[in-house]
Amino acid sequence: MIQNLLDILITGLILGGIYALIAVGLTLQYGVGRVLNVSHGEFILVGALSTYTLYVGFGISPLAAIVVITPVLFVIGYILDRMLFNYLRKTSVNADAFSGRSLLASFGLVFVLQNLMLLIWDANLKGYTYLNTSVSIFGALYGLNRLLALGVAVGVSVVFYIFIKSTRLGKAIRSAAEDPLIAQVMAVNVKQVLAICFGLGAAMAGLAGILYSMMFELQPGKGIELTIIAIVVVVFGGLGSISGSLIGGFVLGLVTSIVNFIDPSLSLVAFYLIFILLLLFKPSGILGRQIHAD
Amino acid sequence: MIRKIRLVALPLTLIALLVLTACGPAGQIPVSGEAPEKIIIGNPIALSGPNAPAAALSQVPSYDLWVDDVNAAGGIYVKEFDKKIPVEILRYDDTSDVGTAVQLTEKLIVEDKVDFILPPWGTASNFAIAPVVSEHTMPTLGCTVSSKQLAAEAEKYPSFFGVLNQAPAQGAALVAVAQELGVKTAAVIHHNDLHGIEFAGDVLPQLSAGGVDVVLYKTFPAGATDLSQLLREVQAANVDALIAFSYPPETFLMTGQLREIGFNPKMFYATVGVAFPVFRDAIAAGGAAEGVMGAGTWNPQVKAEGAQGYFDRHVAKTEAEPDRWASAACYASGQILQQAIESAGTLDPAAVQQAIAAGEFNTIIGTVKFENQFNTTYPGNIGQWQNGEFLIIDPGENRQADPIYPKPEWPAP
Repeated sequence: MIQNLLDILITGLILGGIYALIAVGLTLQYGVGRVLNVSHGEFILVGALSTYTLYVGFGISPLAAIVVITPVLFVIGYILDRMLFNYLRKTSVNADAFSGRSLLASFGLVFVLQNLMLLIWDANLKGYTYLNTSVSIFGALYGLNRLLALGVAVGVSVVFYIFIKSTRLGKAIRSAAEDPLIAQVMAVNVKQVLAICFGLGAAMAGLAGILYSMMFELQPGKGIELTIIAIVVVVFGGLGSISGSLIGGFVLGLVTSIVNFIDPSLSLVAFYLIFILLLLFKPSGILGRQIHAD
Repeated sequence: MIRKIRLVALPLTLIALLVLTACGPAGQIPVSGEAPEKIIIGNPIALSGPNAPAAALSQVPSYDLWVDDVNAAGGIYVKEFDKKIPVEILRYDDTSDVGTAVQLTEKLIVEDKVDFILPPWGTASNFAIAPVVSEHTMPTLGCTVSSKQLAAEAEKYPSFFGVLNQAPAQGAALVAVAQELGVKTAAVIHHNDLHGIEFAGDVLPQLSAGGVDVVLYKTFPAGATDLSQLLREVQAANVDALIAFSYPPETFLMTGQLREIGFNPKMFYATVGVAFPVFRDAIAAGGAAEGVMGAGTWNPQVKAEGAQGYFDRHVAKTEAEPDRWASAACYASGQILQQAIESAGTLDPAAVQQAIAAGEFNTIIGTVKFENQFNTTYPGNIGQWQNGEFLIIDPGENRQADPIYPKPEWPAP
């Protein structure tokens, strides 16, 4: 019995770590920049497929690929915000109009990225095995790559938490998220801060993709599934809250794990049921700010 | 005066030129009864979206290879015109959407006026276009469709033919192998999609009747991201065989997680995904595929004319091996269409349809003959990876190797 409980707990935490990792990039983009970037899952796939090519084609270990892929995606994200979303921000009459227009623009990005990936990597299934050794915890075995994903999710969240709380840039990000206009008045370069946030979001998507590619097979077209997971976790955890995303990921992972133990075919039902309940009773999410009407 | 003539002559010459150009050389006007330059075959198929990987693996390369092969030999001989006519595929992306596949099929037949149709990927899309092609009497050979319901309703769709082997034959082969190996207890798990439900409905009663005790029976959602708990439960149940009816993502996930939790069932069978080269080369690389069983099956060693040649040309053209299940059936459906056109001696779809229904065809999956519009024989129904090849282990004359049992230990990663 205790073994079962431990198993549910550890599997749930691992799953939650994967969820959190998928979501953390979107937290930055949606929570701070107000861009509901539905192409987030495609960015994760770009990271995953690039890792595949670097590993299978050039023998570069997926962990080493982190230093290549995340900076490249940061730059792409940064440029994208400066060129696309910044323009939309400037030309939208109010925040609501910007939300709608940026959502549509990111929807367009989904198709651009999907087709680019089809061109570069074709539609064939891809996969490789890396770090799929097992680690024994309290007598049960778990995949090392999944434990690594959990570790990275927690690590990244802690680092981001400290970064946001105590660095100058972190404070600028928080103020830009709170009230862009006041932040501007206080000499925060909001344009710059938002672009950095979007870039960081894309870099986090790349990181998630690297770890994702160690665990699952890859195919272009899978991105939208990842986006949906990310949106659920972000809304669940509370908009813009990094620790909320981590906790949200863990709660959803644990719920899935418990239901899996009872009847695996109900796990998706439980995943969305708890989401609906949250939206009904605490729409601002676990650690979210109150949502104000403009 | 000269000026006047010039004034009249210029427009006259222009008009004359225009008239001549409009008529054109007589040879370019299609005249009934004259041979077309090409046989155009429409192919709505998933080039993007979730079905694209499967279509790119099993279907598209086989069709293209068939076209290459036909044209290298000068084309298909059509008696009506007493000449060989080359083949060309007109392909549209159905974006993995069933509705789009139906629309494109209709457009290809009505607007583009193609001579024949090669179907899209997957059971659902094939099911959906069956009424459309039948309405237009356009013979269509499905090579990635497996559905008892479609087979049962076949007479409603007289233009649709199934080349791939179907679930009942595969289930029967699975049960026969389990019995032969002396499997006493089994855990059956499957995704709650039509594929899993149909297979379970077929196989579970047969297993019980055959003396295999199904100790654990559970379903999981299609596209699950974690199956470790379910697999631990199977491990705790201490059964001889783990039987899964699953699609590639789930098959791959379960293979990885079986190794992670250190569980090596004596018999491990999963329906879709095991027969893919990517399973041997990436998902279960380093020899981990050895002894894993799956549905299928075809390989270059089957007793059928041209099997090895097809395999080699496929590798040369695409730098990838065909899968060990549907790839060959898709190439064979091209061969069937060609032989039916040749025996009918015409490009008239109704006559070709009749030729398909009544004929016997020599293909790389063996001799194909349709009964109630579905192919009656297939090289194999259950395969097992042995020394890098997915060998047929069906009991009977098709068997290429005896099954390995118990399955060897997973190699250390």
